[in-house]
This record gives sequence, C-alpha cells and structure tokens, in this order.
Amino acid sequence: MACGIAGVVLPETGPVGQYLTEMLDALQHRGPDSAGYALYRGTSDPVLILELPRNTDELSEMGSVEEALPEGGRVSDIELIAEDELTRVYRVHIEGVEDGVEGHMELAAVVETLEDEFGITVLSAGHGFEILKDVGTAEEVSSQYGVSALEGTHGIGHVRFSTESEVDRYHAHPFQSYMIPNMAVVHNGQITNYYSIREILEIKGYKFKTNNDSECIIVYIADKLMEGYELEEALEEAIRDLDGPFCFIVSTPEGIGVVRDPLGLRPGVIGYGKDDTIVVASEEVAIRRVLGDEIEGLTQIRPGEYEVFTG
Amino acid sequence: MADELVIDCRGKEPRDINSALKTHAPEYDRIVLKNPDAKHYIAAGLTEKVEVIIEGSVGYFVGTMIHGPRIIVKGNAGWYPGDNVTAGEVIIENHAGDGVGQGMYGGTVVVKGNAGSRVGQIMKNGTVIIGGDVEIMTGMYMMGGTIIVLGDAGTYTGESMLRGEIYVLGEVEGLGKNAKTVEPTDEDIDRVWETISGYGLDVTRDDLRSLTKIVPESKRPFYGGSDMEEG
Repeated sequence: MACGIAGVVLPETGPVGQYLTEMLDALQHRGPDSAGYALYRGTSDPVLILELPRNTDELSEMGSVEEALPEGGRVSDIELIAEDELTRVYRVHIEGVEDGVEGHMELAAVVETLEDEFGITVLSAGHGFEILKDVGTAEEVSSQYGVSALEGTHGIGHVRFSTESEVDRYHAHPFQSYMIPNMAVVHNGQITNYYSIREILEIKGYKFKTNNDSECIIVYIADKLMEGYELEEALEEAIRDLDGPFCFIVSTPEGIGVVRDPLGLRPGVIGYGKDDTIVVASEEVAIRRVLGDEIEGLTQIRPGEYEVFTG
Repeated sequence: MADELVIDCRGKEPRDINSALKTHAPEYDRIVLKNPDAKHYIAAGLTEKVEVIIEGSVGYFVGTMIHGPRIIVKGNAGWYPGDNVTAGEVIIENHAGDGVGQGMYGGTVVVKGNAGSRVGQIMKNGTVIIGGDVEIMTGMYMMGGTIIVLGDAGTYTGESMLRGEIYVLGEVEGLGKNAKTVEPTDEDIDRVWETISGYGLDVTRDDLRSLTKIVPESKRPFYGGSDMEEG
C-alpha cells in the first residue's frame, strides 16, 4: 500500500482539523513517513505559513515579509506554531492582500519574493487557507501543529509512504500551487508520465519546488483552472492526460474534488453523513472512524470517475 | 463444544482479534465479532471449521488465506476479501471493493451486492459469486475456477485469462484480450444454479438461461513457449 488520502466537507464551519486527524490516524498503516493537512478556515484572511532557521532573528525576518508585501500590505500577527532542532514554523497573518484573482497574483508574487530574494521557505500561502505538514504520524503532526483544534469548512489530508522522492517537510503532502494559492492536492499513486506533463507546464512558465509527481498534479489542475476550466472539467481532463495508478483529492475554497485512475488501481471511497457531512478516503475504515453510525451512504469511486463536493 | 462466543472488536488491533479467533475457534461452533469498524485482515489465516459472524463492515483482506471456516460479513468489505482462500467460505452481505477472491485456490467467496474491479484476478480454483454488478477486469489473468456475476460486468472482462470460466447474467460491457463468449450448456446452467442456491440471491433457475459464458480464447500463454498442458 502506498499513501492514505482523506477529505472532508462539513455542512457548516466545524472541527475539520479533528475530523482529518482521526481519518488519517485510521489510515496510518498506509503511510508512516509524513503527514499533512490543508484546511479552509472559513475566512478570507491572507495567511502565510513560513519556515525559518532557528538561528535567525524572527523580527528581522518578519521585516522581510513586510518588505515583500504589495503596497498597503502589512503583517498583523505572528504565531509560532511548531519548532524542531533546526527550524521554527510561523503562521503569519497579513492585511492588505485581498482575496480574488488580483489578490492571488499578489500573494503568488509575495511567495516568489520571499523564497527567491529573502531565502524564506514558504510552506503555504492563501486566504483563510493553510497547509500544515511534517515528518511523523498523523497524530504527531496534528499534535505538533495543533491541527485538531482548528475549525473550518473543509479540508484534505495525507499520510505518506514515500516511494520515489525525499522524506521531509517539503515533500510531505498536501502540495499547493502558488499560481492559485488557495488550492491543494493529496495523492495516492504514481503519475508515470510525470516528466512529459511537467515539461509542458515548465514550457508554459510554471516553476516546480520538488521532484514529486503530486506537485505536478496541482500545477496541472491550476493551469486548467487558469485557462477557464471548471474544476469538474479539469478533473475530467486529468483522467485523460495523466497516466499511472492514482487517486487524488484536490481542494479549492469552494470544496473538494476526487479522481480515480481509469483502471481503478488506487482506492477511493465516499461516505455521506446523515448531517450532510461528506467524507472521502482511501478506505472505509477512515470514514467509519468519523461518521460511526451516522453514515447515510457509502460508495466506491468507479475507475476513471471523479466527484466534486462543495459546502 | 460451546455454541457461541462474542468478541467486541472496538479498540482492538487486528492482530489481537485474530489471535482471539485462533485461540477460541476450536472451542466454539460460532464466534460473533461486534464493532469491526472496517478493520483490516479480520480472520486472516483461520483454519478451524468455525462460523465467524462479523456484525458490521470490514476493511481489506477479510478471510485472507483461510482454510475451512465460514465467514459472514454483515456489512461491506474493502479490497481483497477472500484473497488466497484455499477452503471455506467468505460471504459478504453488502458490497465489496476491488480484488474479490484474488489468487484463491479453493473455497467460495460470495458478495451479495456489487463488487469493484479485478474480481477473481489470478485465481487458480474455487468459486466467486457476485450478486450485483462488477467493475472492470473481472477474471484478469485467472488460471482456473469459476466466477459468477448476476449483474452487469464492466470492460476488459476476462482480460488475459488462461483457464477457468466466467458467467455473467447481465450486460458485459466489453471483453479483455484472450476472452471469448460461448453458449452455456444446460449442464453449465445446472452447475451455476447449484452453486448459487443456498445463498439467498434474488435469481431463479429460469433467469440463468440468459447467462453469458466467457472462457479463454486460447490456452496458449501470451509470453511465448509451447502450449500449456490441460490441468
């Protein structure tokens, strides 16, 4: 088995972090290497998750963030949310970068400036959206980053069994596309035509941060959305264009979409709660963990099919 | 021998559940497992002739490698129920995921609802019965045994099958490489009826007259070499 994926859409703002933590814990046997969460907090406030080396001056680095912001932007709050021997991870709240297409472009430019000019690692950037991921089990990462306490409308999560690329914080899922900052993907499988898909996207000008095929998926989907496709259409295109065994969940501010490869080589199950909660996971065990007896229905995603759920 | 033992699975690891099953199977006619919570590997490798009733859904590999028991799941099953069974029965009352009866050598695996893809892949012997529909690649690389599908079958049915037979009562969306349809004989229909009777499936012997029988086009292996011996 390789990797466990999970997604949840709540009928209203609620304990999305707790749902995902429990689901990923139930899927832990599928991937022991690292775990991660992408959460939509039900706001449109811009948030950056940044990693800084322990030996740097926090205030000076945050000055860099101010410098990278567009005119009128400012840092409004900084929270230290996790630390290890070498690094500290901060949640940085900013003001003056509005949601919407223009704001997304501004945020993407902020990310590029922070990484390329100031050497700051951006773990996530978005409006009311954040990715928290690290090496460790689902419970460990959730505990380290306080995920269980976080409320929101929907989210996705992942436990990773690394097959080809590094085991570290940066290669943990979810992956984000900075062209459309509020999107993420979690993926179980392998994209076997990764290099040809990536080459096409690089020719279009997209930059990649890792050699992980899952990053390629989110850049591919983001590119489709930027071309004007609806999420459903982008997922349908993905089924045609991407080769290999895969099941992945894409998240956007509106909800989540799940896709299974045409040969059905990676699993995907959808659970419908009696209270209109939607949960998607690699295995039923994760759905039962959170819905218990409150399951109204349960379906397996058919090979080569996709589903989109909005809150 | 006592009649029945009840084990509550909640909070227990599959290893602990299976250990309890192995310990108590010689002492009881029936063991009831409550709150399975879709856990994996339940009843793996059980070899006693005991009836195991699982009151709820199970995860992957329920009844894998069993030799003798009768396992009834009163819920859904994940992927690979009845994997590598050599003797005994695995009966799923609702639906199942992919790879039902994968690689089995004997015994019977029944899914009363629908099943996913690759039902009975690389099976060598034994019987798989699906009461509802199946997805793609049913009987892929099968080397023996019988698969009976009472609903519809997806594309690539019988993909690269080398031995064995597949019966489908509903529509077959498409055949795989090296699979062909033949007219079932009265003996075939009698045998299918005998096989499925007793599982409470919603079908009559008359219904079986419209069965499609799928067998290998050729028994010659695709990777070259001489014809295989009939086995």
